[in-house]
Amino acid sequence: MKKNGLALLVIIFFLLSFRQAGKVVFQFPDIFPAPTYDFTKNPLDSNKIELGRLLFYDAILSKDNSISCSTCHSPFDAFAHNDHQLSHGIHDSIGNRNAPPLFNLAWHSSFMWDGAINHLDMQALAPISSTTEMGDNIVNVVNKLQNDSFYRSKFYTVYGDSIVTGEKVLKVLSQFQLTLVSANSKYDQVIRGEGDFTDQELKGYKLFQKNCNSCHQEPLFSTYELAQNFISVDSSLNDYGNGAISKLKEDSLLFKIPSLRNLEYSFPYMHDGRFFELDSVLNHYTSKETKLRFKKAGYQKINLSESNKVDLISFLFTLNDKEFVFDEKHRFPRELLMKWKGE
Amino acid sequence: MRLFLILLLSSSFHLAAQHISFAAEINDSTALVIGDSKLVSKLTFYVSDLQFETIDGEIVKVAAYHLIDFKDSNSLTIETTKAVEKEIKSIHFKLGIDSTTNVSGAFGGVLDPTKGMYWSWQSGYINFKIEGIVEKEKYILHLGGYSSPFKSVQQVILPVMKRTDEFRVTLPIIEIIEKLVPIDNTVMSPSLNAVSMSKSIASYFYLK
Repeated sequence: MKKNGLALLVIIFFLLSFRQAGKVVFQFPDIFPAPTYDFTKNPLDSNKIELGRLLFYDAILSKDNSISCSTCHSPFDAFAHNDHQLSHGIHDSIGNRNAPPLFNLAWHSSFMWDGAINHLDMQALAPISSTTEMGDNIVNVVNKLQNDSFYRSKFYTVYGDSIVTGEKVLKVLSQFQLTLVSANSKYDQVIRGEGDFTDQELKGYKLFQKNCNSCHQEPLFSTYELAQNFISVDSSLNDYGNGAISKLKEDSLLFKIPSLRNLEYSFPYMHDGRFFELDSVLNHYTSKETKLRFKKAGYQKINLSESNKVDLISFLFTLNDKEFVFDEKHRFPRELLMKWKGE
Repeated sequence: MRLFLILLLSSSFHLAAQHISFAAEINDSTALVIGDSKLVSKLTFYVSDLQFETIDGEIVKVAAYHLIDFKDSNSLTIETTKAVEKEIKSIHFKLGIDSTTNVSGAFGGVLDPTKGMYWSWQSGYINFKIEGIVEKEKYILHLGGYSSPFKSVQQVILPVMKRTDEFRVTLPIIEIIEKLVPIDNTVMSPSLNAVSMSKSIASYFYLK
């Protein structure tokens, strides 16, 4: 009887471990707040993350198989579109915004520069459907994946049936993107007690805390709320940010506050990518006009001398996370190359 | 014998599951069929939180989310999983999708974004879609919006006047078009017009 009980236990344990095989625990540093993404509605699973990664890098999501998510969100640019003011998409069309970097997405409360998207799961619908990005629609994308034997078998592995749905596509894309956690910059190491700032970086850190922290709050370096950046409206773009979405006057010119992590990899800056250098961004925020606008809007004052700016930038560069940018787990999956070769 | 007949008749009300069917009417005797005329080329809407209220105030849940599509006759009827024994006083449903669902990520089934009832460039379900041609002019009304001041989901309560197991929820489609299209013939994002149009539509539902 005892023996039987033991055998039963072994079987139960085996079954449980089998069922749990793909389960992944979302990991993030102690100093980060609790994520806003509700993982109970889309529990991480290694197979789903991998399927999301394949889709992220596969141009099958675009109308003519020319543009993938990674076209404008390259891992080496902290998943932004380095060197392009405005990102371009299908048929060489130019969009009206600078593709933002992708990391620490589990803490974002809205998506896109104008905050038009309320949930990471629904974000991918926007680029898939945009005529200047992927030029397709979710119905067509689901059909293409359904007719592709490689993806049919992938969906079968993940879900136990090979039926592709919009919900599944969106949720696996979320899964991969949720794993893009950037938390190992020099700043993080210093906070963990594994290193020290230089004198200049420390001076810069203090300047940051005094001048920038209310919007670009530690440790994510953004509250991810919407705010005005007080750059003048580009008359060729007429981008009024959230106001165009909410149609409320008070939301006019509100844009999502970007994180200051990984700035070295994700230039140019601002929603229209008008500044290629951090110097230019700081010069904008300390200009007479901006200061006046800050005062009028009741925003916290920014006061930086020329030497302060140099110190501040030296601190900002401690937020670059090289390990994240070169992490193989986030890179182009070689399996996709095999698939393309096989076709 | 008479008593037996009464018993038989009354019990027959309790045997079968209840059916709720949705109809759009051109007039008293003509139901809308998409394709019959150019007046309406598309009519789709979400019905959520569909419930019966019984005569003693009990709420019986019938369906959580349902997508009515007049191009798909199967979508027009909802059947209760089991017969509701008590007399039904009223039918309750929401026209559209509640705000919580709108902010809770991707869902499958009738809520899957492939159903064509989700905006892509901004988040949110389209609660009600009607498209067609009236007086040689196209109209296209996509009504939705989940947050204030453009929250457009509407509660509908329809009193049940006679005892039956077949409920026909009816929309007088000509009246609706005549009321809405002159206000604006193109609505494709959340707006105050979308809210007032949604309110109007909700008030037109009746039981036949």
